Amino acid sequence: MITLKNVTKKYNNYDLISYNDLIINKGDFISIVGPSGSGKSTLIDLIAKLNTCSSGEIKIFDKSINTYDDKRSIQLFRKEIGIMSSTSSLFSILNIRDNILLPLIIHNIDKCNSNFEHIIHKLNLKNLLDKSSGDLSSGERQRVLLARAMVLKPKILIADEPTANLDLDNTKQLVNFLRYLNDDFKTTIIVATHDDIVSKSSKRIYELEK
Amino acid sequence: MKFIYFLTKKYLLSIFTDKTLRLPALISIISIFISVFSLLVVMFVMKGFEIKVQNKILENFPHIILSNNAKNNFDSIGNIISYSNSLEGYGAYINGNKFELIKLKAKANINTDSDIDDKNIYYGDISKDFLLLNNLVKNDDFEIYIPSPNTLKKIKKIKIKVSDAIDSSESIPIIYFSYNQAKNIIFSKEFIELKLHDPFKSKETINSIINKNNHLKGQIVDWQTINNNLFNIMKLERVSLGIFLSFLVLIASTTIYSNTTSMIFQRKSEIATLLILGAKKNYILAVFVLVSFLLSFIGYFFGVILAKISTNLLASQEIIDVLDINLTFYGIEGFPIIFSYSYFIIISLFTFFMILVASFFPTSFYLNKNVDELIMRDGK
Repeated sequence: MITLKNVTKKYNNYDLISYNDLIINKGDFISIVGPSGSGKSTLIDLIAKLNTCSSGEIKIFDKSINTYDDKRSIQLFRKEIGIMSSTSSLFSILNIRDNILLPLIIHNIDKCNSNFEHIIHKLNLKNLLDKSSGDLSSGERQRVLLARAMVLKPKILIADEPTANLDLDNTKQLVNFLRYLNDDFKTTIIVATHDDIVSKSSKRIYELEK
Repeated sequence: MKFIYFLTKKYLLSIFTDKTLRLPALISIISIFISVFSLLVVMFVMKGFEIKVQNKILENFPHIILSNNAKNNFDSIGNIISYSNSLEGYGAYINGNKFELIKLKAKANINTDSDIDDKNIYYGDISKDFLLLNNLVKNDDFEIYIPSPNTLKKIKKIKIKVSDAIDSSESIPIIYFSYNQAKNIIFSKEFIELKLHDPFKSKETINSIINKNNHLKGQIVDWQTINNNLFNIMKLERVSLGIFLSFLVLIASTTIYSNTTSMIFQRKSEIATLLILGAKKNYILAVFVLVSFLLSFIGYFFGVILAKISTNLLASQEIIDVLDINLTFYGIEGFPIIFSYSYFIIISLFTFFMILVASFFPTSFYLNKNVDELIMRDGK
């Protein structure tokens, strides 16, 4: 489903990160771990097409990531891949319901054809729907971001530090949901994390060194 | 489209609740409001003034003048209402140490000949302003000096009796006489005055007259040609003021530009999120352009409404009476203001264009230049 071959990323022309070759199959749950600065978030961004690699090749759905460049294919790409990135933010002008429904509005999909009700129930968000994003705790915010990433039923979920700043209870709740998605929906999950609870819950660990 | 409508509505409403965006938005609205209002009202006044002066000219002066008073054939030229022979000359009124030049004119519809019992008295319809200034009323008489080529002194004194007071748009006082009386005191060459049904077709009428009376070529002139300089000056004044006041819209557009820029800068992370979620760049562009445009449209809308109300109020005679404004100088009645649809459309299109440019460029610039940086991380 996803393959990385000889991928490198250069910063400022001298700071190089090289990645070992990697194959991620359908239904995988892989944790990317490593010390700060080892390139976890960069790898997440490369797979999510939020950044471009300096050399090597990344294939997603058996096609080079560079083929998803025109307007139509990039939109389809974003529809198939749920991203819970640290660059994502919640919209202060929208309540939580609209924040979660935003991908449906963007892709002009009816609420009935989405995961909305199911996810709200599973992530215990029902009581938060009419609240504003400013009224949420860190744990609630991460759950809302996860709900928004999953509302379109994507085939792949890419999450960057999903449990950062969460307490133990919230972390466990979030990890359980990731496992549920992976087990029941066969969603391929790629998580960059520092958290042992997350990495131990995943099926595979991809370790980076500085 | 649902996405554009949904986010435009949300962003627009948020501007009025967000303290940091509310003030710049209000400044944009007010600046557009003031510039549209000023531009419309000034152009309506200019247009009103031109129309009123034009109407006054058409009311008081012949539409076509023929310097040849020979027998001419005006039959079957449809646009002509009437024609009459006329004379025009000048006299002087001396009151103490005051000397005033007076225009003397024969007018077809004046016939006081039957009332004349003294051949040395000339009856005239006289400008109201002149009568007021010299404390004269109906049936008063006064003396004026006129050229007299047949006498030794070449000048003679005649007695005028005020038969009526008239409004006049002439720059100097005027006395209208009956044609028969005028013949005795005005020694200039006779000419023919024509009044038309549609004065704006005077050029076509002149062509028809020349076609039937070829000898009149070069001896016929219409009101538009006579007053060409006046209308050109008014047009120049109007265009100059229009251009000058357009700068107000330009300045207002800069506030929209900076307002849009700061709004986009503030929403930077939301724009990145929209792109990550798969929103099309064009749709995001449309949202922010629409938000800025609609915001400015509020200012434009209130500017137009207030301009319309002001135009109606000023156009009504009552407001002039209430304010006790004297507008008799130009011989026009009421405040010279007219709601002109052509100016309304031109000013609206210009304003919309400027608003669109001011809304589009910062958004487009930001989305096209910085979008990759926006969506990507800056460092490792």
